[in-house]
Amino acid sequence: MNNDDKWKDCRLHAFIDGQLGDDDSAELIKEMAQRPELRQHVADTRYLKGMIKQAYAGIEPPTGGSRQSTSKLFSLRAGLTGLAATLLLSIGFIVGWSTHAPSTPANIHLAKAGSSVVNSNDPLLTGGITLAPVNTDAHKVILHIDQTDTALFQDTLNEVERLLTTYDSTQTQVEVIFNSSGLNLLRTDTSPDAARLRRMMATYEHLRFVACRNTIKRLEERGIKANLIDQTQVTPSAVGHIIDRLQKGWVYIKV
Amino acid sequence: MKLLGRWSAASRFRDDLEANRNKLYRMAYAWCGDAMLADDLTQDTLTKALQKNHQLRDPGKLGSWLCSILYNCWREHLRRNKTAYELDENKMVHHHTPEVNGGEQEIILRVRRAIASLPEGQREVITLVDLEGLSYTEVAGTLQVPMGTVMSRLSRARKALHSQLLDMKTTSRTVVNLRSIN
Repeated sequence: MNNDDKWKDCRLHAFIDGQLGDDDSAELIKEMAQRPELRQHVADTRYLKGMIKQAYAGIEPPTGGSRQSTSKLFSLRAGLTGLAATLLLSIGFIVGWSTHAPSTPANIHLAKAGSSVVNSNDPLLTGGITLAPVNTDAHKVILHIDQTDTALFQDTLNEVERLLTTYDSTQTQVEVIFNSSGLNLLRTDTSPDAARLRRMMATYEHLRFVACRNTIKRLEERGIKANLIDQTQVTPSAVGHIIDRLQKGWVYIKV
Repeated sequence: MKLLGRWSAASRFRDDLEANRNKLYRMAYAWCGDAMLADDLTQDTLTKALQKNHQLRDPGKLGSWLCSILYNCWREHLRRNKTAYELDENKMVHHHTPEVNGGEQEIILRVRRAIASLPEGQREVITLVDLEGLSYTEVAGTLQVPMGTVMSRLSRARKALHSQLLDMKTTSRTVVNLRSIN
């Protein structure tokens, strides 16, 4: 296409998009009257424009989970909603700050998804037992899932991927540990997104999905064989594993 | 009174932002093809718009101003996740699912796939023009490129879409004719 053709082509698109001046438009309309193929081209391009609009007409932001509550922040029609959110955030911030000083952008994201971040001396986690002080390593994160909530599960995976892609991949280590009904998310026959778990394990070297053997045993006692997704690791006890990680300075997040 | 006026303006601004949420989401979705990422980008855009509301001098240009912010969020995301988006020129894989095989839905998915297969720059221009209805000047301002670049990208994008999608026009015409025979 030479420069003249290019200009003519651009002029045609400008006409279709209503961007051409009156004089140029009048000239083009005259030309179209003489050239049926040009008329056809304009009609086809307008048809394309219509198709593109139509293709995205039904697209709407997802609703539900944490995203919906975030969107409510913007509407703020009821002042009380905003006030309550602000209060909640403040309380969350103060509690988070007091329990976990070296806060990183990563765990702020995760906290948004309805999770709680604690350190190894949180008496709620350790049942009142005080552990020896450890230096927390903000690049090592263990997430704990003990329920079969698909939306929360997907949110968690999104955050894990964000964590692993945003921060230095050589330093960041993430483990997601599943027990209780959360184990269903790791079972080949019940996982809502086994393909994604496999892909993530193949993609991220420093990501591990860990299953609780106690939960597997309990399922077996009920006659259910838990076939886990390949590459999943098994630990004797989820709680024991978490305590071990906390003692090694990992950041613990209960989803 | 002054305080009340300010509060009312701020409240109106938030309403205007909220009214643009779906449009922004559609645009983000057309660019990235990922529902969750599109939602994140939309959310980031609205948050930034709230923080930078004083930068909007002409309220009549809210739409293109938001598109500029969305575009910056999108570029920022691409910068952070370079490896994930290097396959820009590749065609998306065609999956024969029941959904794909169903009439109107098939057309919609084919159009989305065709848009997704365009190079990034062309995809951004054609969606800003055809979905958002921005003028070429506004698109040039949003993407920070010369007007000539906008026009040539648009021309190339439409040429590619013509070759990928216009056979559907023939197909749908055939369907109409068959119906009239019946």
